[in-house]
Amino acid sequence: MNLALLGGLAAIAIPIILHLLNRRTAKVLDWGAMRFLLESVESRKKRIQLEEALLLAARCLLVGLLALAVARPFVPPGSSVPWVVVLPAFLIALVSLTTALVLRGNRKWFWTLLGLAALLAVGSAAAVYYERQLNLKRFGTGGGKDIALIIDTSSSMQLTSGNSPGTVFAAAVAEAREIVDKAPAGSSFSLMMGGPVPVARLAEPVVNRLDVTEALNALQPGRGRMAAFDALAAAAVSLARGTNPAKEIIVLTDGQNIGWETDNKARWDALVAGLETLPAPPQVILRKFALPATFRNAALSEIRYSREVIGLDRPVSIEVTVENTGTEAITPGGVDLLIEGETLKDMTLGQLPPGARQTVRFLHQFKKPGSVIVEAKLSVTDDLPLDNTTASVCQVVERLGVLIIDGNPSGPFLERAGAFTALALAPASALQAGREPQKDRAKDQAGVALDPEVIPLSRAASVESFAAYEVVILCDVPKLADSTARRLAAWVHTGGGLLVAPGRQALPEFYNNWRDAAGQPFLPARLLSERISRDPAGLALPGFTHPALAMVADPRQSDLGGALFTRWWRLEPGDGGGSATGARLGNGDAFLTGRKAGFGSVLMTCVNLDASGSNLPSRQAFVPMVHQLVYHLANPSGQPFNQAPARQLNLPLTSGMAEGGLRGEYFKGRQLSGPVLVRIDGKTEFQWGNHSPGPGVPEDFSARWTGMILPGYSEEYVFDGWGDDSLSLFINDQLVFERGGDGKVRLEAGKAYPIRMEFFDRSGGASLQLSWRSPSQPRGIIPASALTPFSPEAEETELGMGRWDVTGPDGRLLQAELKFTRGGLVARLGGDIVPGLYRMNVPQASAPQFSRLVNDDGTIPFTVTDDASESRLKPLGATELKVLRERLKLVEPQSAAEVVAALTGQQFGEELWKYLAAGALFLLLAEIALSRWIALSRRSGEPEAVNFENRREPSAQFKEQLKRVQETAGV
Amino acid sequence: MSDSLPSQEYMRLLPGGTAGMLSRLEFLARAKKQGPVSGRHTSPNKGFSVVFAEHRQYMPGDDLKNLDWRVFAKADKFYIKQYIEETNLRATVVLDCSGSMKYCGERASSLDGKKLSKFEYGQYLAAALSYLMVKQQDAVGLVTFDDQIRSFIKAASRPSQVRLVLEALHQAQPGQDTRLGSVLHEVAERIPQRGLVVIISDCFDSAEEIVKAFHHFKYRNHEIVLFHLMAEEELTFPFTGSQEFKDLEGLSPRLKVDPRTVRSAYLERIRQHISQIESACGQLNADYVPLNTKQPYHEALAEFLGRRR
Repeated sequence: MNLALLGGLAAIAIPIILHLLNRRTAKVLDWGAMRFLLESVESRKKRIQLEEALLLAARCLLVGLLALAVARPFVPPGSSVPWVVVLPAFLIALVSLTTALVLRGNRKWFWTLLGLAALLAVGSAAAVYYERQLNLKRFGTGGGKDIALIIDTSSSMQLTSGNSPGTVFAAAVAEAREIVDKAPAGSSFSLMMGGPVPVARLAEPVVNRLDVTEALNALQPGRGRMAAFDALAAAAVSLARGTNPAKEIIVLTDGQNIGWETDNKARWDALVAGLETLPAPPQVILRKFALPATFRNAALSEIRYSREVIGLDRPVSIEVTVENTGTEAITPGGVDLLIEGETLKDMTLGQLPPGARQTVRFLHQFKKPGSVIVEAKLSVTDDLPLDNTTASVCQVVERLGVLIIDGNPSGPFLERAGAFTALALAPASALQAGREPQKDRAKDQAGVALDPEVIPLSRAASVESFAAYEVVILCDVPKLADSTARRLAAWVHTGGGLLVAPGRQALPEFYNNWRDAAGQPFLPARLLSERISRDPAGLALPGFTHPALAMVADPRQSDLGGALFTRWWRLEPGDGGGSATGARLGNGDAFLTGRKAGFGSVLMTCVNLDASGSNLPSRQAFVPMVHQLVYHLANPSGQPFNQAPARQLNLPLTSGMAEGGLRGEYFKGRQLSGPVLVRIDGKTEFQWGNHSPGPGVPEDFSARWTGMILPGYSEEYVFDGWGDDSLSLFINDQLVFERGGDGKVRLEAGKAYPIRMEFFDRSGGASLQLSWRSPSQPRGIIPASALTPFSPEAEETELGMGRWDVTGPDGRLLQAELKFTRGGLVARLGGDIVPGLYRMNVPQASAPQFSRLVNDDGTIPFTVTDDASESRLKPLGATELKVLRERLKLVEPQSAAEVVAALTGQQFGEELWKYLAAGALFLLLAEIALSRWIALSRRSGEPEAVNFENRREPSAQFKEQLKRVQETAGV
Repeated sequence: MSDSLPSQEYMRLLPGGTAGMLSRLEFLARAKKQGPVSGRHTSPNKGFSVVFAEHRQYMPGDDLKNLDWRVFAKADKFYIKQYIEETNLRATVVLDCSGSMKYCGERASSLDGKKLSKFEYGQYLAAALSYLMVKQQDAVGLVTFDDQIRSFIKAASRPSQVRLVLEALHQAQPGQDTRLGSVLHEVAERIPQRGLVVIISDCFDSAEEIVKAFHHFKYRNHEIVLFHLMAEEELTFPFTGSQEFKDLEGLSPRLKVDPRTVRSAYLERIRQHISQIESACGQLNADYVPLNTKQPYHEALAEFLGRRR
């Protein structure tokens, strides 16, 4: 407690002193009618004394409470004194003592009050004794707190600190235990692991200390950096769930500066606003364990590949960067690269001074397509072994399907709109004079990654599904049919890549009105007008900011600077979200614009990539440019199997698959519950025969398909179908037919109607078929494009498809949930995500479906990338701390005891003073009321003046005469 | 006559104005009542005189000369003849000199710029009364007392009696304690002849005791006039702020009290006391004269006289 408190309590004496002074300064009055005065005092004495005592007690208590409130007392750290009992007892005893002093005239009251004071003293002593003996901290210091403990589990916490035997992490956990033990009674704790993704070990504040200690004991050191800001946010969320009004956040960290995001004003504003909504904004107690002043460490940063899409065609250069993040010069032994069972060694590393980096290059020719694990190991002995290995998973693709839609397919080969593009992508196959490259050629020539297919525009509408391709290129296409345009947009949204190269035939009204399903402009730019210039324009290489053009933007390596354009479209970047201009012509007109659309992306150039308006195809850099653009489009999300840590990892298992279809659930027997298989099925026609429809589905099975149907016309449709053994159809939750047959339903174009098909097969051949027809369309199987498993209202509807086990680093066991999203099938992983290599176990039955990804051991590997700066051990700087102090109520204690002091230090000040002040206010009102009441009761008892007049008046005559006499006598 | 009295110190008790006024008042009174010069009052005391009053049975020790032999002859019983004694009025002024009479109070009437305490007021009142009596050729005596009788002057009607009385009044000092009741009993015993007893007191004793003493006077066939002196403050208790009350009689300890807290109870008590005394006076046919010291004493006296006639 502070001294002001004692001074304040002394103020209790003020009313008493006033009272006594008031008596002492009484005027002495000689009085005759003492007998009566004494009698009347005697009769009123008790009441007067009671009133006075009450008033005095109220005033004393008022002053005492005010003094306490102002003093903001706190309980000494680790105090075993039950202050919640002792303090009020002390106050009341003090008041009763003083009142007894005042009432010393009244024996009975005097002794009663003295006895009360003594009783309170004894009671307090007993409470203290009881508390000491049992150490329950049951009484506490008045209201517990919700305390969120954040323990930094970043890699650097595994360093050994200078003054303790274990790791910093162990020291932090030990201190956390101490804090939990000594924290004010009634506190509840939530526990966060401050890793790259904060994980709540105790998401809801827990009161039982044993549980907290247990959770602390079970904590394992983690990897990666600490996302400190996210951890604070998570702590704030858990605190909001607590019931105590007082909140605290304790961060036990080594004080690295990464993860605090002090530059991100918007996020901090949001966090501070969130904290403000708590009953009392929490104090953030930042306990920093000192980072070692000197340490030895070499770290491997992430593995990089020279190509975005890795094929089997050419060797790939793999780069690993070694960095000395320590304070001493270090000479690593070398780097080993483990890849496809081979070990590549590199011994070129020399001595690295502190802060130096060196990049090691390996060249590797991949032999098989699929997910390949690339692991790098640094042979070095240093303080932080965690960062001496790193891993990456690369997707080696056998072929990359590229569809070129040629808007000008007639004429000599080189005059065709898509000719140069096709040539650039697949010179060997396209050189087959004037003929379209064959689709099956890729199979003959192993190792060719790109597999372009050129089709004339007229065939574009009949392409069954774009899902077979990774990239579609529109070369000088005047316009597409509405349905094709819509399907293409939908396909891009689910992950496809589209390159639009408008040529002289392009119709701006088509391109400028091309909209996606949500009605937003689909293309990144609008075609304003075609510009035909006598004065050819060049390319402004410094303006090539698009990442895909980085390779050809370097004028020393690229001859694109010499490209000249005589006609081009003037592009106006669209107002659709995420549009950006990636390259410009010499006169400032946009050359390349792009935008992300859903899971895919769209690029648009201002010219067709042919020789009609420019000499671009004659440039040597043309081929790499087209390659790079295609790679970029094919892989819009970069390396999806090397993801940065996030609360939720979404690993795409399919790409561009979710164009349509229905969600099919397959059941054993005829009970439509407990599906054994869930998947997306395309068309409404199945010929299973005697085969099982899928893994795990017995011969005797039933199935249910659900989703939405999207009619193309507003008219009456006739649905007819049959099933072996039975098929029933519901549209809009109305039965259309049962056990085969047909039915009519009126539908409107552009609206989605829920559709449900129920089927069962007892034994024997199983098949079903559902057709539709309408006045405007002939009878046919309902195509996948008219079906969707998602409802249009719920943009994010996801379909659960089961769970797969995942093995993470350090033997972590996790579960990935299979979700069918608009972006395709993803494996969603949440929870304890740390950097490292993970393997997702694919059940054998499902393995063939994902053969593109599954390794020989039946797993899909993926990595979570590390943050190289974690190894650099940069402590929080002055500017960062300044930001934190501005934003938070920051306390920076130096030991566990100081943390506890900080926890308890505010105890009364923060919470209790309000109650004390409220109590004082109440007492003030009570005092006013009491004194008013007393004054009123005294006044109301005021009698009329005593009648002391002579009843018998002298006669009027006498009075008159008397008056005369008095006048003459001059009296 | 009073005018020729030497200018003694005690004469302060009879200021010139008052004396002048009183002589006129006497004239006034006389003009009002036509009566014999000797003895303005018909004494209630039975004595031996010319006018027969009644018979009473002979008691051993009675003077045989008063036996009514004619009755004895007729009825063979001894009766004593009693006569109404026509005398001048025999008045005894009884002045309370107790400590409580020292109380003055802010609102008391003043004389020569000095506020009169109840005692002084009583002194002046007694002096004026004595002067008046002697002037009317009545006999006047004086008793002053505090806890016991301090001076006792037998009633006499000679003119020098005024000087005696005034001297005694002048020398009287307010004492300490009062046992008003017991002292009054003693006074009642010691006043030899039946007559008028004028008691000037604040009656600060238990009302029962005082009433008993009055009964004693009545039993001795005295006629009682009680001048009940009270100061204005004692009747209104106007004090505010903390006060320490010191007993003028020195009996009880000092009392510190907030006057507001006890005012109503005190006033109630006083009212009760006054009404007790007043009703007792009514029963005893005694003349009760409440006198507030804020009223100049000669005015009060004049009023009293005006009423009495």
